[in-house]
Amino acid sequence: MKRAAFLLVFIILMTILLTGLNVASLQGESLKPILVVYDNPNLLSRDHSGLLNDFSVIFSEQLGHFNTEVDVVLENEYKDGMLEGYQYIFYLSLREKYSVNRALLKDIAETARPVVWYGEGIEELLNANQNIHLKFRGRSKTYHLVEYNEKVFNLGQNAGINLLLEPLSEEVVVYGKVSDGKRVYPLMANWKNYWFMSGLDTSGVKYLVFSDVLHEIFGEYHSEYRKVYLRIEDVSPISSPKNLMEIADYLYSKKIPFIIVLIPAYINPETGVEASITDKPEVIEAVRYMVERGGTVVLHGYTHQHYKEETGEGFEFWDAFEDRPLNVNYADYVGERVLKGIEICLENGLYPLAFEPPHYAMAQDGYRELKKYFSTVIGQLQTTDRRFASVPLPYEVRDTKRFNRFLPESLGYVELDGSYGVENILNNAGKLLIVRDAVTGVFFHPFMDMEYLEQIVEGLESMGYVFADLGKEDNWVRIGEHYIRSIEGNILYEGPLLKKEKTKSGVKEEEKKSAFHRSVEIIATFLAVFVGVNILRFIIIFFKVKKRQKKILFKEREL
Amino acid sequence: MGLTSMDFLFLYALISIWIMLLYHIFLAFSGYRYHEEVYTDPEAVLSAIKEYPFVTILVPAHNEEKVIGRTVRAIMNMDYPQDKFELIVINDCSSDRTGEILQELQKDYYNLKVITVLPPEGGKGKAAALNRGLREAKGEYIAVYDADNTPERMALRYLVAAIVQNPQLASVVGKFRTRNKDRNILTRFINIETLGFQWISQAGRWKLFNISTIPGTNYIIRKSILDRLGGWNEKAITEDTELSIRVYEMGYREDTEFSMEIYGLGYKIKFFPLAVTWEQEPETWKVWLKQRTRWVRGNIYVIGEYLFKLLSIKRKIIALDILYFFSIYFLFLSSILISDIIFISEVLGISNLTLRGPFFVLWVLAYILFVIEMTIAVNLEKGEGNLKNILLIALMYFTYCQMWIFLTLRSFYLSFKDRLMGIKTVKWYKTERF
Repeated sequence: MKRAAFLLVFIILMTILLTGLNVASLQGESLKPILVVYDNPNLLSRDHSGLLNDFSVIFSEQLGHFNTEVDVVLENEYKDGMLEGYQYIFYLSLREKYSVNRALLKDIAETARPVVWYGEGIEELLNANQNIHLKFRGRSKTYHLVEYNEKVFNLGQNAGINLLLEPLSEEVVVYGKVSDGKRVYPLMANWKNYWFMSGLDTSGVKYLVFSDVLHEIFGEYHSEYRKVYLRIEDVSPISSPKNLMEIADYLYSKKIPFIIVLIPAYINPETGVEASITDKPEVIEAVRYMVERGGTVVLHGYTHQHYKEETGEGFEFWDAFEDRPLNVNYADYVGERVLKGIEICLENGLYPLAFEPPHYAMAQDGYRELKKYFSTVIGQLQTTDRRFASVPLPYEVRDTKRFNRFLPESLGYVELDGSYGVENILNNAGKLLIVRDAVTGVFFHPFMDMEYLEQIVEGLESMGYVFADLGKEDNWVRIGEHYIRSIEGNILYEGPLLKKEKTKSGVKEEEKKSAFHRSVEIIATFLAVFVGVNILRFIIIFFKVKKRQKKILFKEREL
Repeated sequence: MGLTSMDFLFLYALISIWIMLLYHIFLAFSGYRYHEEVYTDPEAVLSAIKEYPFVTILVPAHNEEKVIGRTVRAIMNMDYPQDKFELIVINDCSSDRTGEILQELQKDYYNLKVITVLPPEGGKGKAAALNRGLREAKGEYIAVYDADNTPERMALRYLVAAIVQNPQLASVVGKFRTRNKDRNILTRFINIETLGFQWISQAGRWKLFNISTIPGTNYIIRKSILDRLGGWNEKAITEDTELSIRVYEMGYREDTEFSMEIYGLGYKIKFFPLAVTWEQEPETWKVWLKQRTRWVRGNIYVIGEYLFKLLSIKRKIIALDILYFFSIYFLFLSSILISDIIFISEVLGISNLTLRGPFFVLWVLAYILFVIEMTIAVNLEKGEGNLKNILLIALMYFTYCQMWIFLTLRSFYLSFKDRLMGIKTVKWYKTERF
């Protein structure tokens, strides 16, 4: 009995110790299960620039900003009681003139779970549940003023459709207001477990208000800290080293970290001859110079072209002529291009930490591939394969269907002809201040006048944006035999392409570091083998001694 | 730099721990080889004695009424010519029946001498009592037993046989076993621990470097050497370890007694496991803690005395041995603590260790190594290499060994506190008998 008890203790101890290492992965906050019901897959929302996007995709990716786990279901596929097991119900309804699915309407009218009703059909719910302290007053396109957190935005001609809701009691909490200059209605209204979004906006000011109010809906109160990632865009074999170094000097003097968006190879559209940065030592030198001054390399495709277009102009992962996915197997194609790009970088002692799809264009299958190779994707989201369009998200998202981590860009860049200038960028940044923990990006082409860059930097700083350093955050890239990781501001590389050439401080140190890490690993492995062999020798000795003792015992008995 | 501070701590711990573990692998192999050597023909060594020298056996006793009778009888019954040895029991300030029992025993044994020491002269500890006995000793050799010992009948003969054959040996140390090992789980642990210590550390070091340490009981030493050293150091808490170092040092400096060949080679202390005594080990954790705290503090004293004189120590191998002691108490202990902290922070997910490697495998291997080395040591004693003991060893790693960490930290704390307060008194740290 006693022996059994102590054996048990021993086994428990061993189990605890052996499983101890896995405990870490079980930690972390639990995810909130969320059901998103949306009205029509064929109805693409039209955003301010007239591009078409699948709103359900934008929305479910956006929820990755919170501790959520999202299931999406089409309205006409909704069955009785489907909302069981979910903590929140979101209903996205952008289409006028129809009746809401009866089963859904009934469940939503009766449930005590938080319901977020986005858009059309509110009057039907107010009919089905007449306890709700709101009255539907019709629809209007003239409510062009939006007020939120004591700031007023004038939408002018692009006011968009608004559903007019009148609160019937003090129990209704209002988040943001819309006004036509005379009458005022809530933009968002909350009564008990019901939340209503009255503006049919999927990208503008009203949408940003909604994005911010999601923090209240989920009860997740993130910090008031707005980050911007500054990118030096389309750095390629044909970039001017002088420009690159000038930019690095300026940003370094301002202590502003930045991203180097690198296209490692170039195919001459006339001759078809391929050239990579390897052939341009002066460009490599300039990029390293940038890295030493706070730059972090992000891979921007392999050539930034698929057909015979100019590098930086062409699309690499999308057929821009037919406006459809390329006729390739994305599972192989993406991996091949990424591997080639990464290897050119590694050969030259550059360590990309994230990926930015050229023109933000990516087929849905492509996202699935990228997720395997990159911890971090930056840029905008393409929501559908039906046609090319991309949208930013208002903040960082993690562990969604398409991304491990996505850092959106929404401020834009200065176009060559000045059609989209600094003013527009700062204007966007001003709107984005609506969101308490906005994350965004802004980019600048190295051939542009430096003055624009200075204006952007100073403008964003004065608005309170913090320039984020991608290189200081944890990222990884894993493809083929290559594994790049950034941790605590250090970049570690494991794989066969260790750069041996004499280089300047920053880059060289990283290589030494990796070499050191590798030798620790090798020595530890040798040690393990050595110890293993000795353990075997000990076991042999044990049995040898045992056997002899038995013999002696027999001898003694015989005597 | 490319390494985080946690990486450095981890490397420090990894290197310190594995240097010690690798050293112990060699010790364990050597211990086994020494066993093979000694036990091929155990009787041969006895036949080498032609004449039995006169030996004085010293037994210091301080309130030992529970055990002294049995000890005296066991010593008297040893297989050694009665006219060739005397037993001196130093009854140091006993307030119990020790004196009466000894008086009774003197009626039976003419060669039992009792020195009764009273306050204020007495009560100054084991070393002082031994020195008192040494003054009256007539023997050419001095043997020492603790008051709770039951030596085997042949123990003294083996000790004598070993020492007379080699003038280079200053002292020969026998083996001690645990008499009450089946009492409870603690005594079983101690039984395993003592076998591990003796077969790995003592036998291994003897085989590899001709070094071993006097453990305080069941040893024989030349009186001439003790005289020249001025006896035991009454200030040391563990007078035996301290004596060992002085013996090694002295032999090197001056030795005119023997031939020139020995001069410059120095004396040695030999571990000789054929001489066996059985002693009583603590049966409660409280007593265990008290006794071991004394040992650890004694070792801290020795390290403190000699660490900064390391370079001036003539025999480099002894310097290395002191360094080994130091490593156990400082490097190894701190490494264990660091590696525990790293392990916990890994589990909590707050670690920023960037180093990778088969470290979990190494941890498992370290554990297996511990189990197999101890099993080998235990298995060298007939009947001890059983499944029960192997399971106990497996358990020891997580229990008994962890208690040692606590114990050592506590001893450091106490030594530090005493040093701060300037306390230096040595008195009887007596282990309670059962």
